[in-house]
Amino acid sequence: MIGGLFELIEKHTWSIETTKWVLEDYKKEKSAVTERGATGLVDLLHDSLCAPYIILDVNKSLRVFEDIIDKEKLRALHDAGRALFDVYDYVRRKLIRRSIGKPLSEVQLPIDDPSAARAIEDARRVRDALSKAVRPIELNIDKTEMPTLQDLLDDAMAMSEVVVGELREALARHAVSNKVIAKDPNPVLLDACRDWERIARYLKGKGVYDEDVYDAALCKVFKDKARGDAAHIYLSERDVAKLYLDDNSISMRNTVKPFVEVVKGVLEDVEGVRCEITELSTDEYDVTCRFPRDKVKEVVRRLAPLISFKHRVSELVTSFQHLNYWKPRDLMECAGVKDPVECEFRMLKKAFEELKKS
Amino acid sequence: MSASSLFGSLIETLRELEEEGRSRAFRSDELPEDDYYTFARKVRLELNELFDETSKLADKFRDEKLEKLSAAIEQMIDASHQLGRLADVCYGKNYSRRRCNVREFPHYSETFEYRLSKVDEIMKDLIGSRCTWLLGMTDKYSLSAAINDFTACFHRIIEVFEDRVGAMQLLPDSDRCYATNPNPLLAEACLEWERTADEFYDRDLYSDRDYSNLEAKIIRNKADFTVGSAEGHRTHVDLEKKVLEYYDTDTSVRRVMKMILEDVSGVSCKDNPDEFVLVCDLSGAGDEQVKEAIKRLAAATSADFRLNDTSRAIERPSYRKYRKLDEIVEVCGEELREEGDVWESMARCEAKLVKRDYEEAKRGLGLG
Repeated sequence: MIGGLFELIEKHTWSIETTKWVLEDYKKEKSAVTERGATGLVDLLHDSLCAPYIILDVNKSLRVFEDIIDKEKLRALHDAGRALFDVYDYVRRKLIRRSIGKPLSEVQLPIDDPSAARAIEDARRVRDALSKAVRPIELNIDKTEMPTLQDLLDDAMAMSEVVVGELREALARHAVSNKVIAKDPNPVLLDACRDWERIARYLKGKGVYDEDVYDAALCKVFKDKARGDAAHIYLSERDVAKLYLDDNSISMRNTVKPFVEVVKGVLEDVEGVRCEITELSTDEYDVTCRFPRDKVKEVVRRLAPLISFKHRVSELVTSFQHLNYWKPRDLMECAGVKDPVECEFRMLKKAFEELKKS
Repeated sequence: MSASSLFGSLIETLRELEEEGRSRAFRSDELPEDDYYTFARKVRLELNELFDETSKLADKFRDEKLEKLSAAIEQMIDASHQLGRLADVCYGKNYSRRRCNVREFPHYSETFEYRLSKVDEIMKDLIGSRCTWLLGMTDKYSLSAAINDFTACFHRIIEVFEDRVGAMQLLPDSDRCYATNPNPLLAEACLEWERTADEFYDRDLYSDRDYSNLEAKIIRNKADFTVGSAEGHRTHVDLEKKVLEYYDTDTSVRRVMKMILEDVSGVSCKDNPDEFVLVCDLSGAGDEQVKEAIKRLAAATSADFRLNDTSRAIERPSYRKYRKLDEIVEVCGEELREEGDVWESMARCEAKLVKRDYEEAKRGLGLG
């Protein structure tokens, strides 16, 4: 699972496989591209050529690959992702219409056209980046003086597969479980994250999580260069609690004060934990909690039920803010009641009783 | 007539017109120069208003006497028209009121006399005697006599109206309960209903529009409660028949009212969905229970709006996906009672729920 990145990679791997199969079919059969075929091909190319870009974009907030892939290599993969996106964009805008009625292998790349030249340049840029960071790559477009659309797409597809494969492999190598990823982990933190995941999985069954947020939740355990043993626990794609063992602290930021107050309320329930809320600017609050070393596991575990807590607080507020007549306290009469008429009756009865007393 | 009387100003105007009629009949040697415009026409306008009020009340209270009275007023309206015409033709002939024999103008006088005779019949039924003095007594029927008879009937009509409803006054300490000779139980119940409605309004349970429309009218053993602003949204109580009828086209509200009224011991209700009415039998209820049932009519006001609230809060699944109301109520009683910032109290509520989730998960997973 790993913050939903695994699913995303699987989905795009499948798209790449399918696109490769379709391109192979065009090549073998020498079949002409139809109007409908061109539209379908654009969709497939989007999901396969843009795959690296999309995956790395999702990673931007989770920053998973930063901790498990060498910096140089990751930069090369990023560059490749962007260049493949540009190739896709060029094919979609300029070339795909030209291919209608012809086999892809008969659509010459207009190499004198600046856009085509740029696309070829992009493909070569990807090749150079991947050749340096991953393994040597040869391009079909370099083997002929008159490269075709088929050549360009085969090359781009192969390179997209390399990038996605690298990302998948890195994840698989460091994934401890579905939601825990680790690189040189501190064993206590790793253990805490495993518990965190078990609790999260248990509570998922209770239905208190938003599905998308749950998919994005993840626990990263790694050694931070500056501060040593660390765990970053993602309660959603954007809400991350950062824990460092060098000063036994955990902190989280949010733009809504009541949200950081929830974190404070939950963590201060652990014996010895003290939290402080600081207003960083008018738009951001920070909650930093200090904990005794022996409570680190308990602190991490308690973050599991906080997954998607913002959704739940918003929901509570919305449902009670919409009350125009009854107050939230009145609804206390309606515990276990499914029928609004019965609920209305109970609240009215209580109101009459209160009046009698007063 | 005091300002707290519901029909005070109408009755005052009617009395002035009655006085005017007597004065004109008495000034029999005068030419009926402006009898049409300054008397008969004015009377007709006021009688029209009286007819509206009387027929509405007759309908609300299903009062037979008021029904008969409105029939008499209807006859008087046409008679006033004919009387004005007669005054006009008499003046055209330069006859004084005494000198003018209206039978010289049968086109108008026949209808006039026929209408007054009908009023006589109704009055005999209502008060035991006719209201005219000279109608049909002599061959000659002067305009003076006609005005006198008309005014005499007019007087009786005012009397009957006053007797049935006209003296309808606000009950002491009330802004909404009007009554004429009210059964003390109904009067007391009405005051309690009013106090309850005020309390509910203060608790924001009513829309302003519904609240401003609240009103009750009591005539002897019957009462009519206006419990909201919607047309047809009304309630009758008849202590003679020991029945309370609650009219509302909203089925859910009738269901609420059935529950809230049957919660009073001795009260049993039957819903009649075809006629949109909930009929409650009060025969098993003692005085206190009858009062309680009437007080509970305060529940009907704005009930449709509140039910929307309630449905949203407990019923619609899209509205609350994550937390069930039971869970919130069980864990967050304190936060639900808070009046302050809803975000802060709900954040505290969520923190409590999160702790509960955690403990439950720990137990479920056997974590130490």
